[in-house]
Amino acid sequence: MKTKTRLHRNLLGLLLAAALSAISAAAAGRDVDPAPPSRWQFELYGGAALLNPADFNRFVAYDDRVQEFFYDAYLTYMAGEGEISRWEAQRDGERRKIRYGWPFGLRIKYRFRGAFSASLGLKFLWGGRTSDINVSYTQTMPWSDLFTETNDVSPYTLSAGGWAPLAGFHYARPISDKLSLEISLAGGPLFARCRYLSEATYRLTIQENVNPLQGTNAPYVAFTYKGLLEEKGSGTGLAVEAGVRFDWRVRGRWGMFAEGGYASQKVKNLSGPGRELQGGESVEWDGRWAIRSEDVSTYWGAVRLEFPTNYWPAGSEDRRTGDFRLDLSGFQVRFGVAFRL
Amino acid sequence: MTASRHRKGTSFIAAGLWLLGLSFPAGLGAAPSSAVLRDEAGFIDLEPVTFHLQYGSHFHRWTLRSSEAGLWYSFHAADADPASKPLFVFFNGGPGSATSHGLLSMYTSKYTLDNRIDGGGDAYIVNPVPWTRLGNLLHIDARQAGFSYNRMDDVGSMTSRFLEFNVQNFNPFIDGADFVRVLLRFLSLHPEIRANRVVIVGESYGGVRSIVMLHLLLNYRDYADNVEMYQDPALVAEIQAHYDAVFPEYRGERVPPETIIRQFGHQILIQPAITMRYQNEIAPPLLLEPGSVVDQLVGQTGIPYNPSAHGTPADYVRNVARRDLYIYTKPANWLNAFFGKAVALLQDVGNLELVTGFDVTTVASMYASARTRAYRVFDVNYWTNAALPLPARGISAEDDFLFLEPGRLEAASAARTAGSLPSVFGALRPWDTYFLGTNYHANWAATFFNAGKARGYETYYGFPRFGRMFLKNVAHVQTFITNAALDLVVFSRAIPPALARHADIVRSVRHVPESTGEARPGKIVLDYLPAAFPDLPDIGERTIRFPLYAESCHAVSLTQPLDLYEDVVAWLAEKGLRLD
Repeated sequence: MKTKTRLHRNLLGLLLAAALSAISAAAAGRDVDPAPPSRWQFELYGGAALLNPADFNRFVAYDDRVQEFFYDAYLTYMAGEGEISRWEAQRDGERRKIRYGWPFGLRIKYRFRGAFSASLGLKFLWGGRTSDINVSYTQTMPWSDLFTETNDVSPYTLSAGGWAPLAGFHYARPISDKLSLEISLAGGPLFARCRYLSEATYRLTIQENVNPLQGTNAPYVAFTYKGLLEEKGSGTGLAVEAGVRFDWRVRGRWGMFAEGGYASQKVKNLSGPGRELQGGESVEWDGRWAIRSEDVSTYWGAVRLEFPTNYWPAGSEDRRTGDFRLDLSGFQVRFGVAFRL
Repeated sequence: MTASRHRKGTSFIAAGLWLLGLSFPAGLGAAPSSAVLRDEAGFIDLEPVTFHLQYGSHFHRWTLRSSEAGLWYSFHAADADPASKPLFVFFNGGPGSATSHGLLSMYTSKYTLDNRIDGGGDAYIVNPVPWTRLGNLLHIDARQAGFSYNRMDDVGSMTSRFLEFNVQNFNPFIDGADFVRVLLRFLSLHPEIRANRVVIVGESYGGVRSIVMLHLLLNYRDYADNVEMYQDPALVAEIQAHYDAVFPEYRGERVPPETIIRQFGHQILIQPAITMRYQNEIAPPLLLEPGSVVDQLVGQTGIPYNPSAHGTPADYVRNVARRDLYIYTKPANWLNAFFGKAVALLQDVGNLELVTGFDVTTVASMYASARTRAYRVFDVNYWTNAALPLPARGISAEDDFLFLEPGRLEAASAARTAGSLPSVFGALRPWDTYFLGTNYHANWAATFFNAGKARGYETYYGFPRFGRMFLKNVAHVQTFITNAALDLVVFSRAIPPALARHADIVRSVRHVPESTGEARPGKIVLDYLPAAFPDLPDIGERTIRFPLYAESCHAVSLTQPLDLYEDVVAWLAEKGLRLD
């Protein structure tokens, strides 16, 4: 929550700074030659966006909950039952959600008579987080030996993005002979993608000089297990964005601009391939993304897990508990250069 | 009132099934009696098997692959008309203990150790009560126990061998699946008896193996449709193929348990682990009751039992009274001496041929030349370690009983180089051996550093899951459990109250010790709760035969062989199995 507020503040600061610098530049450049009277303008831009693809980010809560249930809760139970004397966990790293993205694109703009313009452009957006998590659980057995389970998750990646051909309408008013203020509205189809990848290695290590391997050196790796899960999705939705921008005519045909606004970018129907590698066995599939619920009941407790997935093996359809929406909406700030043709 | 009527109705149906059973011959008649069945022995190969452990969450299941293995079996044909007789399937427990040095050597087959001599004597003797009078016998050594051995490619690397000793090869489910595979493949190779009745006879941990085998056989489709924690689609296909042959009216369809028990409807459990955590929790207070075991031993030793100084009642029996926990009236290691003697005798080809009734030199997989990928232990110091005192092996006295039984291990160590097996079959590499009575590496893999257990899967045989599975099996399967009065390892009196701990399944469990005409009385009456299992109609009551063996150790067939034999004959007759 604090991170989100800080990022909002930073974006507002950037917008303000851009506006101030544009105004001061305009004031300083009063005696520069007037721009050529071309109606066409080409623009390139890039920037940052606040993102929170909530459904997709549920992977993090799910994986954290799984770890808490299958490790922390289980070991707590085992200690309570006297099966182990005690346990402790050491965590390095955390699974991270997608919080921001990087929009960039190009646009060609035609200025009508008066203050109106129209544009056509291509916008790209990419957001992703890759984390490395190492968690180790050391269990002290009643007979005093130490077992350590380590789970190395590397990489743990959530990525999402897409591209959109956008048609826009713009209304600009000059502030000075070098500066103008513009509002705009653009929209078009959004071609979005997402990808989840988690690759994990589990090890069970005996740390002490225990019975089985007397005379050799500890620790002993008693068991290793590798797992990989990758799920991809793609789909088409709608992108609409509205914003405000400051234009600064720098020199001749060249100008710069800073723009900010809100982009609504949502895709409802995603599908794509997935693959799972477990213990040397590979499974591949292709399916539609939705939210799935699983009730896990064990002797140490029960938990309901909900997560997004595109894997729907036979008999699992009744576990579908909701639609999946890849929501790449959010506030954006972008900076660019413009060239009058 | 309604529930009562339901119970009566169920009992009536069950009684009807038993009456129907009376009309069945031991063989179901699906296969013609053609070829002559003869004694034989050898290996049945198991390919690597991919299976899953899961708790309903697909993405948090484990996909595991067992090692290639050859499981040793010894088959004895029934004395008369074997094609019409049932097949008794024997196994010991451990986990990791060989049937060859257990039930095969202890008054079930044609030759046996001599129970009149402490330690069993220096040679096998003719068994006066061979079970071949009752039927065909199939003794199977578990993976890596006895003569059974695993195979792997990188066999020379200790690290690689060590990694093989874990959950993928040692857990009650793959263990039970191994035995089902061996049993079905054996039956498939012997069409004369493929459809015959099968009586499972398991001792000690073999109780859990019997539970798993029967649960796999009775509920087989659940092991490939994500219902059960253990998922083994290849095994389910193999079971279906067997049922297609034996119950052709169900070809390709799920065969109901009521039909399956026409073949797999009887189990005999000798001092079994069933719901071992509860058994272990309940036993100690029983050992302390007035007049009970500890009282008796305090009277004999003159040393009062002091928990803070002596530990558990079992610790007192072992460390203070110096008695054998398998038979507390005998000195420590009394039973192990028999096992150790069998280990020593079975290193000799002549003895092996005597016990199996088969020319074992014709078994190709026994030869060293065929065992280039074979391994039995991960640490080649296994045998030299056995000669070290316990502290030098890093083993405390407390761990001694749990993880090592020096009598057996040292006997194995001494015997390894003494017998004629190497001279006949060739010298083996340091990590291989012809016979291991109890493979402690396998035992540790199953009980000690098992990753499945560490990860929360119920892959440890002590978990209550096996008690629940047992109670479900008993709804269908006629069950006989020995009550050996002198055994403290599986303290029989703890079994009924341990079963009663499953209060979500049974309303009550009564131990009825009074005689109703039997020489050795005893029954356990289970009163199931309505809807104890969602997929079964109300079960009502079930009765388990629970005869008392007042002089018996853990290995009842050794200490009271004739009594056990007679009780089994009478019980099977009562349950509709014609053996004459």
